[in-house]
Amino acid sequence: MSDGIPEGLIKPEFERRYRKLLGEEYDILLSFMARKPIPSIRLNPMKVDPDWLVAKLEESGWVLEPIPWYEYGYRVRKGPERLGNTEWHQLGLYYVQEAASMIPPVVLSPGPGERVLDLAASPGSKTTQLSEMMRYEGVLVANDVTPDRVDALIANIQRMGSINVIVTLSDGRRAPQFFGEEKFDKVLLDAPCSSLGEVRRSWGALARWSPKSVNKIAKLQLSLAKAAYRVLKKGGVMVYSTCTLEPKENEWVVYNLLKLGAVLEEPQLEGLRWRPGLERWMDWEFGGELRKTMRIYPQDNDTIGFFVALLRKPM
Amino acid sequence: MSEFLAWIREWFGVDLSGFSLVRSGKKRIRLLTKEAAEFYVKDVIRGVYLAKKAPYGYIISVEGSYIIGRGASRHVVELTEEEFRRWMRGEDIAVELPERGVYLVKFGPVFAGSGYYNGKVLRNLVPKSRTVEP
Ligand SMILES: C[S@@+](CC[C@H](N)C(=O)[O-])C[C@H]1O[C@@H](n2cnc3c(N)ncnc32)[C@H](O)[C@@H]1O
Repeated sequence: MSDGIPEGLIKPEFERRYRKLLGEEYDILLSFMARKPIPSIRLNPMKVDPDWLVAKLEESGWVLEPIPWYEYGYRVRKGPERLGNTEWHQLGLYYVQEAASMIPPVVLSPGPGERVLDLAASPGSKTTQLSEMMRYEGVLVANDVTPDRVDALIANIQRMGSINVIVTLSDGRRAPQFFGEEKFDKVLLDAPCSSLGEVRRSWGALARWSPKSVNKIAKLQLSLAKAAYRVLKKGGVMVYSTCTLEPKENEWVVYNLLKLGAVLEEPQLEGLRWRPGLERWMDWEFGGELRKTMRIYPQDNDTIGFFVALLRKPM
Repeated sequence: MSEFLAWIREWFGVDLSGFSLVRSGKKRIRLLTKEAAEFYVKDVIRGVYLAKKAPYGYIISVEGSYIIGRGASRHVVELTEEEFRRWMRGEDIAVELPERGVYLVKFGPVFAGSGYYNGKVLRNLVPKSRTVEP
């Protein structure tokens, strides 16, 4: 019995691996995976005074709770059923975004005036957040490979009014050829993944999970990560993130970037509970450095699951 | 483009020369920062859709309304909350305004696109995809 998750959805190999990873906590993970995530929104300080909007929403009966790690993020404890169908949403005053998904941009911490690349950007939750963090100054290139998804990205950039964003359509694995080597001060690679962290939103990821599919996607992630690293300037920083808990898609990818000379830095984030990345998993010895990466389990902060690594390219 | 810039200056009293403007298709104009305009890369699109040519001037997008509206000294109409909620559902609003033409719509500090005042009502020019479903 796995607390609400339909019978048969969890494969024996999944259970074996995750029990090994989490021990006693495995059942807690499952119980959180079975719950819908708490809806949350990110206010757009470039379009509205956030205090004014919060007051307005509360006046209409919303109950909001600040998200500690992003100053404009709020969980909606009480609010309309369809957060995407309000005046404020339609005007681009907020974006519906899961609380953990706000973490990678905060860790990347782009400043006004920088050249930033979001290599796998659609539908643009993090692109629009990055653009707002840059106060629409500097240049943000938002790239994706899937034309349909790029349409959604463009619509979100429009709605949020992100006037410093350039949208490109290319295979991220060819980033050095497409953009040129060492072009960006900061790069975000929020990689396509097996989405286990997102099981709270839909069971699909559990149904699709298999060691074979994980290996396949890890290969794509590593190619993307290597390309992202190459377009990063010397001294620049890169964030590698996924919404999955699979070590092969997380620590293994980062471990391979370290072999290229990348250096891990430990993110500093207020009010967030996270676990250090794994030093070893199955046959791999990743080493102690990997403890500087962040494993964010659903049960840690009542969010979806995430993995985040902050890497610097030495001068 | 100079015709558009002159119209914005004349009609709203706003100077957009700090931004970069590009034509998109025959009628549309997009806006982006100068830095983003100068960055060399093969793009799909840059910046945001700002305005579209119309017989009576230009339709201003929601994003355009706040970029222009913040500095506008005329042709901005302030709605009551009740009117604003109806406006956001796509309705025209009966108001009395000094002259016919395009107005930016405002509620408190928030801008909500543009409308055309025909002497009787402010015709709603907000695209359906940006309105609220009842
Ligand atoms: C996890 S999603 C990104 C979510 C996005 N960063 C956000 O916050 O809204 C991963 C994205 O990677 C894109 N993708 C997959 N393969 C890619 C490739 N080879 N190059 C670039 N993007 C790719 C997918 O189309 C998908 O939009």
